[in-house]
Amino acid sequence: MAGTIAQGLDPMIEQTRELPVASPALSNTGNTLEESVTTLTKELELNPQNAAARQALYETMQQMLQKDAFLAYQNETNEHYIVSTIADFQIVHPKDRAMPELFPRLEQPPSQNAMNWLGWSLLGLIPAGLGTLVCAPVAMFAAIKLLLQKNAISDRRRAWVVLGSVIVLWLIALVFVIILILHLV
Amino acid sequence: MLTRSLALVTIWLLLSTVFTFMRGTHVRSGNRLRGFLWLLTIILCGDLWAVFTFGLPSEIIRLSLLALSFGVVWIFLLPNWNGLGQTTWIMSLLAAIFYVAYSFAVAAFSPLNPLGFLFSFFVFIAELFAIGLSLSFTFEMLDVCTRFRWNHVALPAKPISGYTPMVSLQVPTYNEPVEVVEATLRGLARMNYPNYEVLVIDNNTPDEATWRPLEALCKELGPNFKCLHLDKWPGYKSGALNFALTQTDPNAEIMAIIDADYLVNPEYLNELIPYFIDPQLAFLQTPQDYRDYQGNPFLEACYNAYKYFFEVSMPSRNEHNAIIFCGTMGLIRKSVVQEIGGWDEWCITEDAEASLRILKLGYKSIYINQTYGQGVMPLNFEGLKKQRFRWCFGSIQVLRKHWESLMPWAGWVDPTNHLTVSQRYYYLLSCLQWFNESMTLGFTTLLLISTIAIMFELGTGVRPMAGIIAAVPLVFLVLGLGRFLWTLRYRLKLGWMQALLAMGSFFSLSWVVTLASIQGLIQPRGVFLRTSKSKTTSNFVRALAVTQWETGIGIACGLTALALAISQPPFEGWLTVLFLAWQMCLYLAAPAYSLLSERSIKPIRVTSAGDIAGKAINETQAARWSVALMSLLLLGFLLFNLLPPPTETPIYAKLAPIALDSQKIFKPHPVPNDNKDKGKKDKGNKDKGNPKPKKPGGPKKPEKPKP
Repeated sequence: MAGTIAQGLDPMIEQTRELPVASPALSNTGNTLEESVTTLTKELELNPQNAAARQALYETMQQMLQKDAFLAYQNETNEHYIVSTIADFQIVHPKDRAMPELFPRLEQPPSQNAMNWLGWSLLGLIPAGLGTLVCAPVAMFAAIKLLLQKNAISDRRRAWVVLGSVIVLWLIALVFVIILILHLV
Repeated sequence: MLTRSLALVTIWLLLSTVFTFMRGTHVRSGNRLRGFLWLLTIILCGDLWAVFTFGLPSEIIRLSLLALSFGVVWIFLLPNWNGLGQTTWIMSLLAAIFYVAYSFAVAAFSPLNPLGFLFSFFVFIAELFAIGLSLSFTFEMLDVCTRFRWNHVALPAKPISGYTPMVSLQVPTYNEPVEVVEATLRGLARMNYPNYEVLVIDNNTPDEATWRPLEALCKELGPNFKCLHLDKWPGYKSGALNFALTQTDPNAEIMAIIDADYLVNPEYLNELIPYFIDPQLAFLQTPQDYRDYQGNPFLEACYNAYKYFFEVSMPSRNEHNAIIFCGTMGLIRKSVVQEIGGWDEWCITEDAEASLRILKLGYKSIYINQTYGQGVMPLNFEGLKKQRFRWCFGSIQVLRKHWESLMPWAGWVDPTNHLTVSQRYYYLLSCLQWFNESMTLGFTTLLLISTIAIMFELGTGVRPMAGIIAAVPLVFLVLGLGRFLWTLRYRLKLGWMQALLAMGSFFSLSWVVTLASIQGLIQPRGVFLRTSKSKTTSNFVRALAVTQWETGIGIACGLTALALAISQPPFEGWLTVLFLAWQMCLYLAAPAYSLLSERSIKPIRVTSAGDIAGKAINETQAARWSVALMSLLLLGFLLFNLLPPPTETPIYAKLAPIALDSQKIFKPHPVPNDNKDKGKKDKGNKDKGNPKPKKPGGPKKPEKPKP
């Protein structure tokens, strides 16, 4: 989600960058609380490890929230929240956490196709293995193709898993299909 | 041989389970020798009966040796269980294996047309899945009831001098009555711990008049009480909690999530924070408890049903460092939450999902089975349905996102995945167990279709299982229910009636769990259930309106069972009547509990914020997938009946298992020799040329939902 909304935020973040950098110590004294927050945010963007700035930002935000607890959501990026106060003052606040892997993933790994076919091969066992008989070779082909390409080690390992699993599934399916043929003749 | 083996294993299972029901919770010691001797005793008792009724001595000896060798392996694998538990588990496994083999042989080698075989094979796959789930429930129950050695039981800790890390208690609220939150916050103000803050996170409450008093209250309670109102905030509770991370004191090392209606014990932090001196400990969970439920039969049943998870599932999982973080009344290390990237805003059970990601990183967790806080039981039946829908839907979301992490090869493919085998097992099962209810609905449909088809002579039944062996699924069902009641009674210290009511509470939610598990597979994003409403003031009509689907299915089962009973069916038909009657009770539990809840005093609130996370989905709309699946089954059945059955006994039918008649099981019988038996087998197979239609349903086990 954050990736798709980032474009609209760029001007806002740019405006923040243009503000003068103040030291955390000064930030609480010379400006309004809102301006201090903006300055500290800028400081943290330049130096995310600045514990003093982080503490000062927290304290300034708390002072602001003590006055009024209202914050409205505007937008967000991977690194920032854009919120507004009740007085409509916009704040770009850094996120204080690692960026989690999004789900559903925006980009599928190369092994996803083979894994999907493995799933279909497993489900193909339900109609007496007929589905597996069709899907397993496709999965096998996808896995071999993956092994022949230069991929990450995890993708190559996944390809081996798919290959091994679909061979077993195909053999099981073969037994079921033979039984089905017995019912046909 | 397969039929006789299944009969003998079923007898072993019956014997071992009955003895376990009687003494399994009393034996508080054990060793491998005692386990082996008990296993031998059960096997010999069963053998004795088999020799005098239907068995062939050579077969019995072979099977007994197989069971003994199989059992020895499990006795070594389960050193912390007493002999009764070990033997019951071994026999449950053996019975499952033999039943699956028998069921496969019947499906594969009964003289059916090709479509009939495909249909029968589908039923077999469903049975296989249901039996697997049933075994997982059995394992969990035996694990907590017959375990005599607990390796990871943790008790409240003594304070460690100089170790009082900063704790941030986070109270997410949404449209909560002020007086409820006020009681919670005043309780938190009395916390016996020197270094903590309380952060009230009001998430999207529309009416300012509801949340402004909370802001004022926080100011009144002092500087360590902070209030934050988040407006138009996306991501539901997780979104709000993620932003709250930025407003948590930078010095805070531990966070606690407290529901807005919880009264927390002042010693909560004092007795639990010392555990966090271990830097590898990422989260700690205590039971979620409730108050003000006494004297209300509906709430009492709900209370005991909720308690099941914290008295049975969590202690079992704790032994394997595989507990779930349940949010409320849990403590979690802030740095770990930051490391995993915060709460997942995609998943509607963000706390359970976060715990899986944390364990993947190799951190430890701990469960302390002592209550430190009690909330208000907020539910009427409608609220209960919504809450259960969310839990189930969230679990399926976790499964969709993390299924590959839970596979046996996951550690090899992704070396950063540190989940142990036990953790993978427990997390995978906790997601898959929800599908038990879909299986139940599937079997109900098959029972209905098959019975109606037989009565109106529309064709043959689905599964040509005949003779006394057809009663095996019923034995499994009865033993499963007995095991569930036994566990409830022992772990929750309940009387018979209380245990029955708690069990009924689980069953009453079967339909909504079915809907949620199917929706979870289809919907990419979170949805919440909107139940049917009635504008009437009549409690009776309103209660039925909320449960119209369950009532409809229950009545259909009841009427079909009645009609079949009136038609004076043979033995197998009476089994079907029993199964249908059981399904009727299961689905009619919903209107019964709904009525019970309407009789009670109105709760303070019906749903919490979490229960309305996502897009609203109408119950009728959600049901369309279930109805489609039921229709597919009907269509499949009709299709296979279009083709004629084989006119002559096909050659493969010789591989079909023989039928055992009840005379051979229940009455002493001369021991047959192999030739005599062969003759009988041939006769049995000839009978199968025109098999009696038989109910298609497999064993149905009691099921329990997980938060």
